[in-house]
Amino acid sequence: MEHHDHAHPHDHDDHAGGHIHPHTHSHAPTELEPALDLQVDDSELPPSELGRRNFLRKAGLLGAGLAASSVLSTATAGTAAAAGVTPPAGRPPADPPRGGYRWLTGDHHIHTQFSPDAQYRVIDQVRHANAYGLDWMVITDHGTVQHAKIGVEKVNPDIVLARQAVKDTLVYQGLEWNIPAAEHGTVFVHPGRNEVSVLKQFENSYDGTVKSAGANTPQNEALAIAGLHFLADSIDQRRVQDALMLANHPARKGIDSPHEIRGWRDAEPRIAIGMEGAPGHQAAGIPKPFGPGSGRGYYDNSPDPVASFPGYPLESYRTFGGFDWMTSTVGGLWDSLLAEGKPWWITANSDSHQVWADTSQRGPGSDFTTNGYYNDPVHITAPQLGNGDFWPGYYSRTHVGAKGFSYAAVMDGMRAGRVWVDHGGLLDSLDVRLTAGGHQTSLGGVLTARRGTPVTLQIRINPAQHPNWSQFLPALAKVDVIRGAVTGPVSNKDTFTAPETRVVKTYDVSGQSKVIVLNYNLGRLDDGFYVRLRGSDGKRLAVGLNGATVDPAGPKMDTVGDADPWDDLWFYSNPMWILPSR
Amino acid sequence: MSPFTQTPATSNSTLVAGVDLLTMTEPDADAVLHELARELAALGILDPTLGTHRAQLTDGAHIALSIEIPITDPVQAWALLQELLPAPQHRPPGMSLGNRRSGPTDLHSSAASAAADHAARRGGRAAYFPGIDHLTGAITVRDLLTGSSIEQVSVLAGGDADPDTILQTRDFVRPRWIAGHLVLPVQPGPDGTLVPFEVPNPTPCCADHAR
Repeated sequence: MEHHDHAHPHDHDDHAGGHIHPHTHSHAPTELEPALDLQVDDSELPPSELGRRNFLRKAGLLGAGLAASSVLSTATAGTAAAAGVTPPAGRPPADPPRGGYRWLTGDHHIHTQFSPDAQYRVIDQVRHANAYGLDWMVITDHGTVQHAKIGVEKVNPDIVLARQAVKDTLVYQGLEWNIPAAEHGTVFVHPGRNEVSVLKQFENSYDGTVKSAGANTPQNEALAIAGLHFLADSIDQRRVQDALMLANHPARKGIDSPHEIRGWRDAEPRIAIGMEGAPGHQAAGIPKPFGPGSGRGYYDNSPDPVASFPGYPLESYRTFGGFDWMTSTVGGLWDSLLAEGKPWWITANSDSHQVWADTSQRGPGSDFTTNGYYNDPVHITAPQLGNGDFWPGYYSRTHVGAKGFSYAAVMDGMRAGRVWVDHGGLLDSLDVRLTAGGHQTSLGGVLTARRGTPVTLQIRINPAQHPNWSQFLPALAKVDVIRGAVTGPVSNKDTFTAPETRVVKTYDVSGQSKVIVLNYNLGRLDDGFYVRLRGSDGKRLAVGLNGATVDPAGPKMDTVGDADPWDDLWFYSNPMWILPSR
Repeated sequence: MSPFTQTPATSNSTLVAGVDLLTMTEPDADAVLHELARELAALGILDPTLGTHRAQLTDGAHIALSIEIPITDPVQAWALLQELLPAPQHRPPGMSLGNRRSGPTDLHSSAASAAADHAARRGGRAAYFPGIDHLTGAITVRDLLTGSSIEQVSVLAGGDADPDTILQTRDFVRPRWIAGHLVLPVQPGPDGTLVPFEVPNPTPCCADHAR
């Protein structure tokens, strides 16, 4: 792909995600335009900007990710120091920053000895994550009675020490929220003086287990929404600088109904920004006697008549190429949100509790119920082949386009949807730009242009140049462009289909080991649409659940009891939208 | 459905009743139904078909049961079920057979719905059915179809299963009523075999996976 320097007038139609700069230079993205900056009141906008804002608002495209302004003040040195945060430089980027961003790799779903089903110390997880290349990570121990009382406080000094000991991996404190009436979710906050008190208050007031609010009732669904409001209020009251929530393993048990997912997002689009596109526990499908022989991701459940959303098909309880059905189905639940114009992003994490083939076990004499944690792990001889997880960074990666190496920048990048994910180190880098009328946007962004404007998609991929942590060089075989019409808000909040989304182009990139450059012509703009990317090593392909006209060669359903995660690798990008301005 | 809709019978030789014990989990429901099957067998009443169904009340969902027995006299069937079914802890059970009702209105209504779905073969899951006792170990799809009342074997994200394929039953087979038929959903398993979709011991949330 040829890059040409071109002037960037500041009255163009790109959004906050920042326009994309040629690789010859990089600088921070431009300020938010007034129409997109929700800090600017309607009354302060000139008529042209107000018209544009109203259009975006009507289309449901004004909000999280598409108006990435931060209402947050920067932490004072005092609060940062109190939390053990010294602004670090991070590791030197392997590549020059792309599109004005540093792509920082992380994982927002990691457990420690403060979870009743896990075992490692915080520093163990942090050192492994750092060694396996993660720039940021979130400690998310389960919400439990013991955690709310003991663990949420007791884990913090360990996190503070890890921040000081391992300077080039950012370590957030969060928790794995038992979402009332629903599944688990990651909740995490920007480090600061009140990180513990906010998380503790949140857990004691809104955790489904602590509050005995797991049952699938309207009251409990409302409690979940109230919890998200609490997090937003904590930011507005300057108790914490930032907070985010993402739904974890959303289709595992069928208990995240479509209307609940929409409800979280719509209630607090600043806070509830997405879901795990791929769950953790990716070693769980390794066949016996070499592994647990369970479902990949531990997805081996079936509909629960009491708790599950009755509309979900049986296929939704399984993974496809390691990814959750909500994400892996072209024209499925995720696409139904994107077709509405709702920003909703996907991630991929380890959910690391107990690592496959690890030679350690919980410390003897542990009493979790009393102490709120297990004693430090000890070495044993027998590799634990029944464990279903990988270390953070070892297999699942979430790549975030950040404006710098900082806690705030990673959270801003996630909220903006500048995120792509991969398994098994499939790609070294992914650079995607949607271009129309001389303007560009990147992942998570939205462009507006006049009808009739030619629209193109430029993709630049660096395939893996080094063997992954399983000691082989993964080979990207194909790249799919997925396109969906923006059809506007749905009246039925339990919608989980997007009939106008399909794979429109597949590139065979087999054997291309150096940089892969693809330019796809999306035609002239008529009605609004979005595009997203997906790619695979091509090892396990099948016709998608919505048929060959929608997805002729998608991910195959994973076999329960026989799923080698290294032999079935995918990457997914988040979407970009383009809308007609008139 | 209204409280007094006639529940259709599936054939001339059986009756379908509905029972609501406010059961909260499928394993609990399966245990109740398998115990009922044993008690019926002890009385010489063989080959019942016993199902589990989602029951929705205003404050949430639970599980209702359906019971198809080879008895043609509703008076006899009604008395038998009143005799055999366990008494739940909190509320009297709801029961429905044809136009006979007993128990609280909300529970005999959900019982009637379960019976109606079973009789019309449009929803629910069979926990016990004719032939289930022979569906153990590894068998061909053909043998499963000929040896039990299951009418179809349907592969998830696929189509109908090849009759010669080996199915690893894991000694746990739970077909579902879908569009008028008793269908066993299956999925690809190790080494070219098929396995039932429903596993006997699904991973619970926050499990101690390795132990």
